[in-house]
Amino acid sequence: MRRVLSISLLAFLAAAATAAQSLPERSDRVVDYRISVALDPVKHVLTGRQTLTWRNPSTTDAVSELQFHLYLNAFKNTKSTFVQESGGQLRGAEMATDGWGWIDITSIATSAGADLTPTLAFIQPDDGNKDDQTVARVTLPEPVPPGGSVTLEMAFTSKLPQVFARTGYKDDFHLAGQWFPKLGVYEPAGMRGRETGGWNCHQFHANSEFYADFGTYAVDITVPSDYIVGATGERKRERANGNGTTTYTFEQADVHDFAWTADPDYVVVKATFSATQDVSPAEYERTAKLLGRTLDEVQLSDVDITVLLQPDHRPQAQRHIDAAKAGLKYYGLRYGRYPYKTLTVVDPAPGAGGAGGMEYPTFITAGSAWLFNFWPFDRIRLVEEVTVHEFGHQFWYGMVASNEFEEAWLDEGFNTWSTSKAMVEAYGADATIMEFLGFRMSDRDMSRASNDRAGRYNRILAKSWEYTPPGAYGFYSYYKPALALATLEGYLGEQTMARLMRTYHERWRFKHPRSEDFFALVNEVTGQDWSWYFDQVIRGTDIVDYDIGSASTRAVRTSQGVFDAAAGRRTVSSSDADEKDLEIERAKKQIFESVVVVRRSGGVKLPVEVAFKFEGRPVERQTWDGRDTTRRFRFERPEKLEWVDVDPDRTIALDVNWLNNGRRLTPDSRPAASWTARWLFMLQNVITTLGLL
Amino acid sequence: MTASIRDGLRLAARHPRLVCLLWAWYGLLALVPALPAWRWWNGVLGPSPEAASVLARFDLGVFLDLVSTQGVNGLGLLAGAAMAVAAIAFVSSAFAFGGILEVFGSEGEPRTFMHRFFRGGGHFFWRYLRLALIAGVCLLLATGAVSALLTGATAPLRDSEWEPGGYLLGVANFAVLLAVAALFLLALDYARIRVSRDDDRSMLKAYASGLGFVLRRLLSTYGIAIPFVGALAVLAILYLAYETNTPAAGNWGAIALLFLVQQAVVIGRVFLRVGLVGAERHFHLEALPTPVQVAVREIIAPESPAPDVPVPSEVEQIPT
Repeated sequence: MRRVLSISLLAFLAAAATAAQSLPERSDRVVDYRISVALDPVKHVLTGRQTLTWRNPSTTDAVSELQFHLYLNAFKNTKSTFVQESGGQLRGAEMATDGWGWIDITSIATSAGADLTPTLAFIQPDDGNKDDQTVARVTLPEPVPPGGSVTLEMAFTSKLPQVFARTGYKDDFHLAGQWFPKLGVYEPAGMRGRETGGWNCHQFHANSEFYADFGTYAVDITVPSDYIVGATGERKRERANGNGTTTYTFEQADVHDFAWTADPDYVVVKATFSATQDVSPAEYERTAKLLGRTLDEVQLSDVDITVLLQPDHRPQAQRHIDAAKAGLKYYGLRYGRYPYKTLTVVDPAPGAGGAGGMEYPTFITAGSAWLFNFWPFDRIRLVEEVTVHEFGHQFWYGMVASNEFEEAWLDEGFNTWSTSKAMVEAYGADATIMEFLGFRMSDRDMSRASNDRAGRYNRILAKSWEYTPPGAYGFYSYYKPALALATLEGYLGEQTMARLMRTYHERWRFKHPRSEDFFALVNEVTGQDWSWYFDQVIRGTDIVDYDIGSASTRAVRTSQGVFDAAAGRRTVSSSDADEKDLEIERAKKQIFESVVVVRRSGGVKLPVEVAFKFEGRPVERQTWDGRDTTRRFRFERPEKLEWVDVDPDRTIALDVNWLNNGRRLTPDSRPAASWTARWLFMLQNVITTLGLL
Repeated sequence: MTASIRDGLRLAARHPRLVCLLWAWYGLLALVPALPAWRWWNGVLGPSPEAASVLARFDLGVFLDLVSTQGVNGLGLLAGAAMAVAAIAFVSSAFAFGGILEVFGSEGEPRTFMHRFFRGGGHFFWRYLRLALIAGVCLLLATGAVSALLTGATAPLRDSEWEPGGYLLGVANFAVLLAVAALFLLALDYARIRVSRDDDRSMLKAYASGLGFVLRRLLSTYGIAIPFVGALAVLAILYLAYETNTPAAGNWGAIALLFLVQQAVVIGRVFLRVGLVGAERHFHLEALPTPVQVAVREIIAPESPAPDVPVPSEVEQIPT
């Protein structure tokens, strides 16, 4: 207890001493995209031109080549790395055999007119798969000097795939993600721990999302006039072209990607998140106090919310809006004001579920079903969970923008943890995901569900395509990191954790941090070295499990035998002892010896509290550093031990099993009776049905 | 129809011991996988302070930890035991229906209820088992064929952009499959009634006759069954309402009350099923009157055969 207390106290003091950060107003704006694109809704083809300006962020390196993501080529054939790794299915959706997608750069030239098209070549920096065309490079006629820039004129044609993995079409529904040639990130020496400068431009993998540089986007999207369009950023202009098409112009700065959607069937629902009406003064005050900031520092700003809903989901409009507002409020208050003026929430068309549950800057896709219009299915909070989660990515994937290929946990894990907290705040602790016919499920249940003894073969800190089996990516990048952060919060306390996360977000907004940066900040904020924790939990593979080896409590018997004393040698016989014990028992002056052996069954060594409850006494707590595999506690008290519990506050969310954490010395059969009654009833129903068929 | 339903309910009400016997037998079978579960859960949940949350509600976290404590095999073993017992229940249905129909058909006999039940169960057991297997095969073949037909016929509609269409189509397909399955199950009931009445030996013929009977009187046979199924649905809804809206089983009194409510529901289910059989039997006898009320004859060896009187065969052939 003392150790845990001292950790918390030091952490609190250090957090209080941490200088308040201010939110960066804008990103470094390394890239500038000016794109014109037209959709052919019948062929699902995009024809585009883009003017791309790239500024060399290095202060030392001259850069002679550019590297591009051409991610639609992941859907070009079955030999792409993406299809090889995914087997043509992702998150339950399967690739259609006739819905291929691809992207061709038809021309590329410098603004001075030098044609670079012949220098265009596909490269495979991750796996050497020569058939993969998701990354290309072009050689520049002359290197871009440090701090200098280059402008390219490019033409491209993109064929959207039939949607199954985030991007594509389904009938009239189009979701254009990763649809244009997008530059990778040039990382100068020193950035993210690099020793020498170079491009960071990974192939498109089954288990990975994205990494790109911040910049400005201005995109003209031409679609048939009956189509409704939503996109990243603010809609600036709308122009009817007189040929049955309309061009919409969207602009956004300080983002690292651009996505859009077009569908004639959308129902458009608009709302405004009001920084004054949707957040009460008490909430601002509470947050300012929690974070140790001024009211001005936690002040939010208004955001225009657009929900593009499927007509059959109209009754769920308010649910989408409420969830978006819950996200804007929680994330904004905790991590810093949402810096953009718009948020677009897309509800993909039926059959286009593969496009759902995805985040792009200021633009997210959720996902719902007609059935959720009705009771009791409306108690399944899928719409809310997905909307809050995808919105939450705006703060990690979107603004902090870590490299999801190499350190997916910094986005998915941080966001799973944050989503859980936002959902608890908005919908209550027990039933954040579901409250269905008496069955409740929370985000914490969801994360803990996959945390079992089998989870010891990978580490959190791994490249997203290197998990074995590939399905382990979900656990190690979403759930285990979320549990690791919850456990860290258990050690630090809510206030220190809130201040730590605020500081991390503020310091690294628009800057692409890596795991080391987070670890260093934890040490800085808490004033302690936490590498023992991160080495085991983030870099290590082992599991956490504490349990009770044995627990007993019994009356101390009068000692027997021959005893030497000042008055001479004295013999206590068995009958003397029994008589004495009887006397003590009658006088109710018995002393009980209670012995408990606490075990660490997992390989991860974490300090824990152990709670002891003696009859008629308040709960006592002691701390064990957890370094040895067992620890024996012995007490001699006038009271019997009732129960013992390791980590009684359940702060170690990483523990694979909480049921074995404690031991009652007198078992309570009610839980088993309650479950057995239900199990028996279920069996009787099945058996009676079959027996009287 | 109404008379049959009324008669069925009256029959079930007149035979509470029959309802109780069936409830007890299937309850006993259910105990086979329930008792090991009790031992397992009591061993793990009993000493754990964490398990206290189970008393307030079903706690998914505790359930997952329970599986993690004992390994998935615990659940696997329980599921295996449940399946084995379900198979025994299916086989014993042949005995149960023999008993039910014999008890119904021998009302007024001086023999005890238990005697009549076991006499009927034993007498018809193999025949009813064969009937059930024939019905099962027919049901699987028919629902498989109908399902394939529906899948083919509704394929163009499934990709409809009108999302509710997919759900409605699913519900419609399910309803059709249910109706087809009900046809074969009702035929099984009527075949059993016919065999009980006529003491038939050919089960194929009996099942075909049952199918014919139902098909010729589709509205009436379904009309008799639907109120019973409806009553079952009401019972299920009432139970769910109780489960979800009453305070969780936090103390022994509440657990005992939950158990009593559950058993009342199971008894209600058995009562309704017995009532349905009674109603179907009434309807069958009304539709196909027979001059002789047939129950299983006990073979009584004559003291001395009278040469001028033919010895009655064990099986009495009654024209239908």
